[in-house]
Amino acid sequence: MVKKEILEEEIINDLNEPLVYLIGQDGADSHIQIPYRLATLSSTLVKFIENSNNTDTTSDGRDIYEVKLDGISTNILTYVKKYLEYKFENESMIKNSNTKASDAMLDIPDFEYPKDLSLELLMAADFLDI
Amino acid sequence: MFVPTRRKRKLKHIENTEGDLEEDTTIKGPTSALTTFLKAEGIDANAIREKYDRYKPKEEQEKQEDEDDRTNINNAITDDISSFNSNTLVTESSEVAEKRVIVGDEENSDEEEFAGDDENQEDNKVSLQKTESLKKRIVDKDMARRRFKRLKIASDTLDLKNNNNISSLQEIIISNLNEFDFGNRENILSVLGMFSATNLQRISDALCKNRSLNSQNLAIFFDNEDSSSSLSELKFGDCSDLISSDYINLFTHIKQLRQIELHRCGQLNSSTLEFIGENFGSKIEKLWVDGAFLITDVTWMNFFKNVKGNLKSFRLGNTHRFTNECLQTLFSECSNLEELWVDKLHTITDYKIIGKSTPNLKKITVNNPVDEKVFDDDTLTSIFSHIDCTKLEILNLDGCTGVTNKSILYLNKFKLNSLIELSISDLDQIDNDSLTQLFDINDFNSLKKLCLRGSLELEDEILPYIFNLPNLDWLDLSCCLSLRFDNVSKLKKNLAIKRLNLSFVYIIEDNLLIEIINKLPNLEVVEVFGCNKVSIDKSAIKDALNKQNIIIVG
Repeated sequence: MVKKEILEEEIINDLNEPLVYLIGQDGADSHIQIPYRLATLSSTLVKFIENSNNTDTTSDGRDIYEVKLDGISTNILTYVKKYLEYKFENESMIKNSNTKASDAMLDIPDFEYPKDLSLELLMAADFLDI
Repeated sequence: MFVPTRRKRKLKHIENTEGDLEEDTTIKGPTSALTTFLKAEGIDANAIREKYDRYKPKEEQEKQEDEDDRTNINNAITDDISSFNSNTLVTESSEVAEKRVIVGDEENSDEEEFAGDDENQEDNKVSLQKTESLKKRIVDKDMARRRFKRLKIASDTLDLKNNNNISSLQEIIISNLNEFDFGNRENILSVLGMFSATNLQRISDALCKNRSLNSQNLAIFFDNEDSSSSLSELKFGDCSDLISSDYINLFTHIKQLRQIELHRCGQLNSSTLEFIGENFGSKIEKLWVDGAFLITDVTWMNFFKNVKGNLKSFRLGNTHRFTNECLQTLFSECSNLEELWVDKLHTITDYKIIGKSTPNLKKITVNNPVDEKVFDDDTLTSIFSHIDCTKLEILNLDGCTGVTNKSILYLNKFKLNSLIELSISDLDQIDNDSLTQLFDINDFNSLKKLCLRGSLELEDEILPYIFNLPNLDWLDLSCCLSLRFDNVSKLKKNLAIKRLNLSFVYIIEDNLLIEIINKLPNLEVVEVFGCNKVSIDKSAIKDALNKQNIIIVG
């Protein structure tokens, strides 16, 4: 658990890392913020970013990329972010563990999400290719 | 990849045989099996060598230019990295830039030197030119810095992305859906909620893409008891896990289903189709089936008798049990048929029946007949005599290699003004002249999709006609090896084309591609698979175009 927190902190506080704002159908005010390395796990997000001309930066100089996903609600995007974090953390853990991948996977918990969002999340996952 | 057209092959063969006659008087050494084979195929090894020799110097020249450019870009990237690492972005002063001389590979050094003030003025001029070209290549240094940063992070996470230890989100959700009890309708509503037809189609696509559509989750698409809304159209891209009873359930539980598309439906059998035809035939307007190899010819004929005039669109592919009699029954029974799509039906030997008794037929797709004798000029003439060609919207004859110039000239008799899609791929008996004439005579103002893939003799003459088409949305010129694009600057700008395929047009290189794209301001996607002269880093092209939203694939 401590390792996980350190990893999250590392991801978020990496000063050089660009940020990606996922803007759902609820508008820019309720955007979801993810570090760029999580966005690289989705080929769709990478394409959006590569084709954007954003030149915004945060106050501490980090680049910002806005991705507008009109058909997806902010609630769903929250779970998209959770999944990307889940994937990144666990793949990193397997990669860095000394044991076999199959053994390391035994420690990985299931990804949890509300069942009533199943199909909406499935559509979003299909669109984002994750 | 390269297959010479039979016309060329014949000509070369004739030339070779003439040559052989002349050479008979000379003394010849033993002939290898390879030489004999090349002669028989009409391939001239000397011609290939000459072509290579002509091409070689250009290639070397380009290689040299590329190396120079690469040195410049390497230097620029080194600048970027150093500025990135130090986190201090200092803009290079113009004076320093002017003094800078980039030393090329000739001196075997990547370092930069500063020249003296007077001695190397000429060198300075060269360096100035290079600096300017460098500035042009990297339009925005900030953009390059951002790109580099992204690349670095992406490369760090690349191996994580490619590891498949953690299931994809789609797999996780589908796996959870499979554990769900769909027998209870209330449960379904609580999990699924209400979805529009469009979103249900998206769910179907996601399930089929993951090859996970099965008897259990099929219930997602069934009508809700308390709702009046019902799907009228459904497409399943992969039905390999659906059993016979599922197909019946589809029609039973989706009351308004009139149009259905079923791919990879290997488990759909004769008795099921007969049942569907007898019970639901009166409402089926569209049936697209692919891979239904269990259905016998008798069943198909009975099905057409049941659906009769309701059927407007029929597509069938990849089955060996659909015979000439089936096709005859289709056209005799289903008089309101508007669309026919047949692909790889190798048991059909008589296509002349197409269009008979169906005056409304306006979309014809015949792909890959068993051989070129079964679908030739006479067949096409016969089909056109049955239908009203002025109303023809889709004509797709991909792989019908029996079609020759004669058919194209015959087409010119009709005004194909309603044509929306024209696809004549891999027709090796059609030459440049007849195609140019086709576009010259006909007024293809409504044409949206044009596919001329594999038209090996297609030359630049046709390009002005194509670029003048006002509504053309999709253009496929892949494998048109004779295209040179010599006069791109004289072509008119086309505002309609959004998608262009130039794959395996070997003449395409960066500058030419930029020129072509500049003529198509609204282009969104361009495919350049197999174009070896196009640089791997597509961002250079995008920078030159100053157009970031274009997607270059290949």
